[in-house]
Amino acid sequence: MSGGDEKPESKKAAKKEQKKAEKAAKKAEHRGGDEKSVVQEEDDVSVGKYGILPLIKSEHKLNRQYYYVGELKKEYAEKVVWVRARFQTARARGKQCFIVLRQREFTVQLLVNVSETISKAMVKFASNISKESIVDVEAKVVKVASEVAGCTQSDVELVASQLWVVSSSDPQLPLQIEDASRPEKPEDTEGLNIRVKQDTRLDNRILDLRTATNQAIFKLEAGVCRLFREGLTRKGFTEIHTPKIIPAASEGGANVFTVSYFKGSAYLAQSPQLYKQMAIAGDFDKVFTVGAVFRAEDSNTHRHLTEFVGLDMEMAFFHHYHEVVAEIGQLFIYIFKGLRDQFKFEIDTVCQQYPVEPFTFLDPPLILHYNEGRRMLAEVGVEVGPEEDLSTPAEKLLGKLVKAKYDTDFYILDKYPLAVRPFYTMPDPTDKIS
Amino acid sequence: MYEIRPIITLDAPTKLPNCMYKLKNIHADLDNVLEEKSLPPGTKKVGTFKQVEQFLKNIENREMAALEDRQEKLLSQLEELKKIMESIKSNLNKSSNTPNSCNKTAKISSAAKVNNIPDIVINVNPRYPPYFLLFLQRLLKNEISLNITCHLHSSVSEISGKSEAFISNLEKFPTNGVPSMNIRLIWKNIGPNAELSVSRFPVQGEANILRFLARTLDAYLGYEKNPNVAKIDYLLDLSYKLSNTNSKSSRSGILQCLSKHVLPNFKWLGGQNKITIADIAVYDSLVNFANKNEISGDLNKWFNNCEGYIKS
Repeated sequence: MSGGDEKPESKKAAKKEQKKAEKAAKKAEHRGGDEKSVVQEEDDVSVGKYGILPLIKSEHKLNRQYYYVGELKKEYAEKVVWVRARFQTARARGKQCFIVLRQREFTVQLLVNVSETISKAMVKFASNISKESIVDVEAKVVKVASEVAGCTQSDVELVASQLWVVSSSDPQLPLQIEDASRPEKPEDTEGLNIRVKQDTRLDNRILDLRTATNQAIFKLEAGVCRLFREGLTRKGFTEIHTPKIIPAASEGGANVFTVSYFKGSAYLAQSPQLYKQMAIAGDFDKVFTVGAVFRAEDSNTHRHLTEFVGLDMEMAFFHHYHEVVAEIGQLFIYIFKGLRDQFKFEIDTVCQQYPVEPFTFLDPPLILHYNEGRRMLAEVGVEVGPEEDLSTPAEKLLGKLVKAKYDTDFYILDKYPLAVRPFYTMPDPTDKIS
Repeated sequence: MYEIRPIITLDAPTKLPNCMYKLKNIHADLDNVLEEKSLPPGTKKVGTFKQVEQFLKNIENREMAALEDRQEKLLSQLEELKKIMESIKSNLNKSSNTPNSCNKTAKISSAAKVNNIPDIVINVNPRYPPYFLLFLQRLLKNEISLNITCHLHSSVSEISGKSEAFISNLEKFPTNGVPSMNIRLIWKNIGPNAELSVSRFPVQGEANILRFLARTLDAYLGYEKNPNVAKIDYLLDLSYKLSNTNSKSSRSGILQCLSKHVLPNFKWLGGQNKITIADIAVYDSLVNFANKNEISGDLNKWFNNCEGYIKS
């Protein structure tokens, strides 16, 4: 530690002593006062190396470099580092205490071991820190002989020399992060089957968001948007931002939410359609937008949401709408490839909790004609008329059939019948029904 | 009753823009109200009156009207069904009465036969290009053109230069007016043997894919009526075996066996004057699984014949 740290440290130590006294008092009270705290009797060699930090009020600028848990690897061995992380779990074994520190989706094992500089009291203090507290740790990175199970940084562990609680959390948490991140194995009936219910998760969303899976899900979500923007910008598209409070319903069909607008009322946009088209007519040529869309559809299905983020694009084409289909197909492939190549860790993290087969796709994407799709369905006994829309079960079945035959989760169905397309789409001049 | 004045007058002609395409008239079902526009004003009134009546009726007794509508629809659907049944009945009678028509259907043209071929999906490892397709393109050029589309599966990120050269070779082949057959070639991370999937279970190995194609395209590739059918099958098996051997010694054993089938005076394997699927399968395996220096003597001569064939 540098000399500049001395002043706050003495403060910390004083504070620590005070806290310890309080704690001892509390403990005595808790146990009915028949037991004296051992901590105070012993000569503590680690005074000033652990305790509870005073509230950070931006008083001092400490020139201390913190390391991310995610970057702690073999290459850092023997280095002394500072880490600020969540205190995930602690397991005390006599003179040792094994702690798992977590920062975002990364975890590392921290060892607090009784030695010349580490007192028994410090180990005890470490094991009593409540879960999910934020701690500052000064520790040496040490290579491990055998892999640390259950930590993302499996080839190293930390050996603590200082341990400070920055912000202590409530000892009674409404849900345990461990329970919330337990893998879903429906076939495993014998194992520990503790689940956190959805309503508990949503009531305590900040705790739920701390699970590695949720961290990964949000990263993936951000990744999809980034790849969408990247892919289209590269192709010469311009990103536009469209109004969300609008004077009239923008696209017929979907219901609108009415909001009061000073003396009158306005509507929440159900689609950026009109604004995209205005941009095209205004010679933007190729535009896209990412933004919230609101639809007042009072139905409880997977396919209806009152609010969602829409990724929308619009482009002018020269002769054939297949130019647009190809562009959209390439965009999807770009996004899928980006997810496959840049987000493997996140996808694997989600897979650990919710096992799922890897997503497959073909490049260039598979384009099937509606009639081919109908033929495939007819082969397994599901008849769909030439001018009929696919029902949801038929659509799912077709997805399965295509996956079985071509091994792809993504395909484009072209030449949808005119009768079930929106009225403003151009009819095929060579085929009456599509 | 006395006559009332029409509530809505529809005499103003509507000018429709012609910069857009025409839509079907969605109101045409309701008494053709809109079509009456061109009729003299006397009849128009009736249309409007009816419309109003319909409107009032709907308001008063909407549920009843809906029910009536439904009944009407059901009845008309039933009527249609009946018609269909009758037409089927008459068709059946016809065919049973006149056995000649059966012969007619049997004599379907080769074009129609080709149309019955299922779309074929072939999965291949990018390290082992399916050279047999180059032969098939040439062998079938006068009967069927192979419409081959290539896809890259998500399990591979890029394909080798060898396969790229193969693809450009495939695409170079000209297509003419003959009926086509759709083949989708998917470069995928699988074993060295290509897989063809038509139903749930894939056909594995080039030799077996060729066997399958020989059966579906019996008229052009069929070998079962050949007097040397057993020999051809044996050669196909050898080629499959070759694609599954790793050691050099077992490979040289197979190569020796193969060279025995190169007969003097005959251009192709197994004493054939015309190329068979055995040649194709063996060539494919040799290129993909044997070293060029392992091919020697008579076999080399035959190998050059094959090379010449796909360069033609």
